[in-house]
Amino acid sequence: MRPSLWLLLLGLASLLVFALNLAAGASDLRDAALTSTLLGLRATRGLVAYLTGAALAVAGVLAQGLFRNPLASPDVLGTTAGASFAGKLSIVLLEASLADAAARGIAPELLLPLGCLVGALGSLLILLALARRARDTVVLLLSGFLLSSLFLSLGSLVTSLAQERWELGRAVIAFALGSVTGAGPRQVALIAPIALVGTLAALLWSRPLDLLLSGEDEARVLGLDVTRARRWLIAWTALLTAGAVAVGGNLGFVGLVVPHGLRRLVGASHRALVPAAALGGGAFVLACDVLARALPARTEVPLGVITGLIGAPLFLLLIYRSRRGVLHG
Amino acid sequence: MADAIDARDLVVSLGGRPVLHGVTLSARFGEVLAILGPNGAGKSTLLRTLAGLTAYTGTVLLEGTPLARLPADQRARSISFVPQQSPLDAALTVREVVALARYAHRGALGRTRADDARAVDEALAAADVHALADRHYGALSTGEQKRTLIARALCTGARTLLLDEPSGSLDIEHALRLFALLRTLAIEGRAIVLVLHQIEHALAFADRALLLREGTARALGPTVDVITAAHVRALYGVELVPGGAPGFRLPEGA
Repeated sequence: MRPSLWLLLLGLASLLVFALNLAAGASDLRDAALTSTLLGLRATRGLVAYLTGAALAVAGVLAQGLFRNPLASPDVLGTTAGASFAGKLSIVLLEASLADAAARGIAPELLLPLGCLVGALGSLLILLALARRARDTVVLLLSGFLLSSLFLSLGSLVTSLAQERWELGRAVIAFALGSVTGAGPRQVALIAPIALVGTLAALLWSRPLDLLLSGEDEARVLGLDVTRARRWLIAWTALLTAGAVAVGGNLGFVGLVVPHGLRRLVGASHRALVPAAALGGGAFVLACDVLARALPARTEVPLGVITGLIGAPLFLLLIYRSRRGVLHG
Repeated sequence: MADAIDARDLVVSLGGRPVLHGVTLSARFGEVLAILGPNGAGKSTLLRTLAGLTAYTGTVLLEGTPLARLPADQRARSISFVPQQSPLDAALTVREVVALARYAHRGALGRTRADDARAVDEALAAADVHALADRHYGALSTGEQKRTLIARALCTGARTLLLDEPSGSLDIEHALRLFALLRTLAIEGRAIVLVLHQIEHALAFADRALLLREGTARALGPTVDVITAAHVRALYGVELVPGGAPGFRLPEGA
């Protein structure tokens, strides 16, 4: 089937999931007094979930192109953990120095996304420095795993220190688990420009990403300024991951499983893969959020738990159905 | 007119180990230059250096301009390189792979240009891979992949082509067709530089040859003058048997 038909199908699937998102929830839509308020809240939350998923999946496409590795993704490489750790740190710092930040002219609501951006960038740069020394896939993935573990440990340290104050502790844990509960216009205002501009930028970089499929040497011979391309791809990967983590917390497997699955449908050309990942990632996370609300539980199951519970087995299935084996790219 | 490539005193080290020790060569438009030498002589390193992929000391002029001073896309429009094997292993079709060569000709915001499709079709036809255009590159045989990479190099429109053992994985018919194509390209005015293992191919298709051993140029000149019994003995340690090996050619009119 042609890639454009898959894009159309993904668009239709997105609309369907969005409609389900409006209908799903504990409160009854038949109550006329509440209908418009409920729909507004659900639409906003759905939009945030969708854009977060789109940002993570596009970041996954960029990371896989950057490292020329279909197993690369912001969460596997430690980028998400870096953003998450720095995000937690920002929450604690925000609490401790709210007045200081305001006095220095930094809007307090920007501290969390800025922290996530610094964490994501720092983590990617460390990994890139390690990857330049050893280009082997296994070394790259192990480095990412170790980096991820390091940032998760540091994040746990921050979580544990934050427990001294009950409200702060709850805020840090809620952020760590990943959720779009209570997402409002402020979150839309943050993630919408990042997801849209990031996806457009990824589209503009689609030809260089295609060139990098042949390796850096061949890309260079064919006219790509590889150093410049690498710098920009890192920046966009970090920004998309940071934006997604800042509003949705730690949503595992989205950046890995969505591009990986869609590559089989639309092919490896990034002109089709980038928009497909944006639509597919959005629909996947939104569907997970609908499920999180639909599950019979005393409290809502965190979104990050659902994406992990669905994403991990799905990824295993994709690996085992791959004839050539994913490690060989 | 300046030579396609004018390289002087090239010194290259890889991982601290010296590989080329002051090699000097020139490649001219309208000519096929073969680089010959035993394994480990530095042939592929020399080709990669001329393609701008390896750090070196010395000078490399591309049509009179220092290679290092050319911006990436301008260099890609002037010189192209076909490696022995590509790490490309993605679900791209042959047409998509060849179209990558048009990146150096991109318009504003990286957009494709009107003449890209025609250039891709011409390159597909020239390398005899038109029938494979919609097949996935990863599903092709090694020889078909090599012809696709040659189509990609042709599609850049570069006037100088560097090829590392282009006939290495081709059957004899496709090897002969490839050499015939390279000769045609040279006659049309391009400069062709290729690393070869088969001395008989150099004798049949190249105008000049550079003999390389242990990173040093031992001889450079017209093929018939350079490929002598003495040089072959010095280079490979074997005796040249005149007219000893069977020869092949494409049938008349092929």
